Amino acid sequence: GDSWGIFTFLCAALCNLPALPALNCTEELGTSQSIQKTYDLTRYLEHQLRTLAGTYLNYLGPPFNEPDFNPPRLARAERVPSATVDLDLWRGLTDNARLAANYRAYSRLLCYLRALDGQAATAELRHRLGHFCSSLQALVLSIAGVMSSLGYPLPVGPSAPPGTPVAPNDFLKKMDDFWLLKELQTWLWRSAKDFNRLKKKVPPAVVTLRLEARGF
Amino acid sequence: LSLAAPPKEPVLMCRSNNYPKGFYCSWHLPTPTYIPNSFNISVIHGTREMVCEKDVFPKNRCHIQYLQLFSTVKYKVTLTVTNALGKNSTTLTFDEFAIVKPDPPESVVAKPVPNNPRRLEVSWQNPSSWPDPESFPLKFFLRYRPLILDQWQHVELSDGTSHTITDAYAGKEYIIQVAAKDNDIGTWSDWSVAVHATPWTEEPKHLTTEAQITETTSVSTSSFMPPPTTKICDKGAVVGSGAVAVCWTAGLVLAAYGVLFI
Repeated sequence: GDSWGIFTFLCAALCNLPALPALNCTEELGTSQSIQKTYDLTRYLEHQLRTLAGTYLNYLGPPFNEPDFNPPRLARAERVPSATVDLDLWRGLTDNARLAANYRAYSRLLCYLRALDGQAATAELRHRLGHFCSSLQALVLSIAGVMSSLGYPLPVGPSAPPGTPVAPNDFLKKMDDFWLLKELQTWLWRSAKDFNRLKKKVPPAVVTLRLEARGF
Repeated sequence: LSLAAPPKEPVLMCRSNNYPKGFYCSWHLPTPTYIPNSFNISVIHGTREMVCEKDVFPKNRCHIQYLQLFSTVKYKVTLTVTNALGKNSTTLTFDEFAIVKPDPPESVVAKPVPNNPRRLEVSWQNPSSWPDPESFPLKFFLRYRPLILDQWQHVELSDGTSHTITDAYAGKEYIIQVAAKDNDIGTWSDWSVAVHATPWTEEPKHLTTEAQITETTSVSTSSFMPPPTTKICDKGAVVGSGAVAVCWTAGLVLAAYGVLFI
């Protein structure tokens, strides 16, 4: 009861960190290289997640660690915006919308993963979660960097989800964790495709123009 | 006389060779039943039941279109086979990303490069079944070896549909294949049809100038021969010091080839 209140508060605090100003770093890089770096980060995280998820699901125990485990999605409030999207809609996303969707999703995911880290029962889990959270934070910052260099405003800092009901029992809490990891995995798969698309649409020339404009 | 039998557990396979459009499933029975069988396939995605449209050809295959992309919920495909003596079924459960496997690259072509005895230029095309290589780029894996060796050499290529091999053994015929994979998800395709090519070789000018004498001592440049110097010299009905010099040269060339392969 009490501990959940604390976690919600921590989440709110962590999630309302001021948006990154840091334009200095990205101007040096160049947008297309920033996009490439962001893409590389998603691939790295996807790889890291395989080990992390394996460890965490084993910690949760059966049936969560069974390969065919395919539970129905319960009608609980969605904590993280889902990666699932209609194909034509996904294709038609503007660069800004595409980046913003990624930024929002990973900011929320980072927040929840940090909460998991706080509760982790074993040293191994704490170590893995801690390492993963650092990498995930780098990804959020990288996306923010790309958005800034393209002149897009960062989405308003995600507040702790207002009415997410606390899981009433241990099993449902584990279910929440299971879906969190699944959503994270799916987002990492999707982001590779998102950043592939962005790579093609943002030529290096764009950066030069923007830097010159900023010079004035 | 074969006894009619109830069906054994069918073998089911599902694959997306046209991502992100959809996937297909195909099935067969491991042993014949000798009586007519009917197949029923069901695809469940979360709470939704989807229709897998049966293909006219090949039989025992159906295809389905994705309604949404990047799904967190698995697909559950159940195949039931029924005949007069009984029924059997099998189920596959998978994530959207796990079954992505493109068809092999098409139109693989390998050509020698003029004036470059150690190069081969290979080019290919995306499989025609892959609908959107712009948004869903493929990466490629090339393997090549001279026919006479068993060991393949491999190159992974993250973009482009061509590659120049620069370390081919001069004068040796090569066998080359290419495979494809979505850049980020799924598994490698099967290997493409194999193509053969031999790097460019210079015409042996010194032999052609002494055409009459060297008629019978022609050295084949496209297939490797062990250095039987005596054999060649024996063949040639040649007399005189000129012929001996040619014999010597041929022997040296073949010895050099031999050394390459030690």
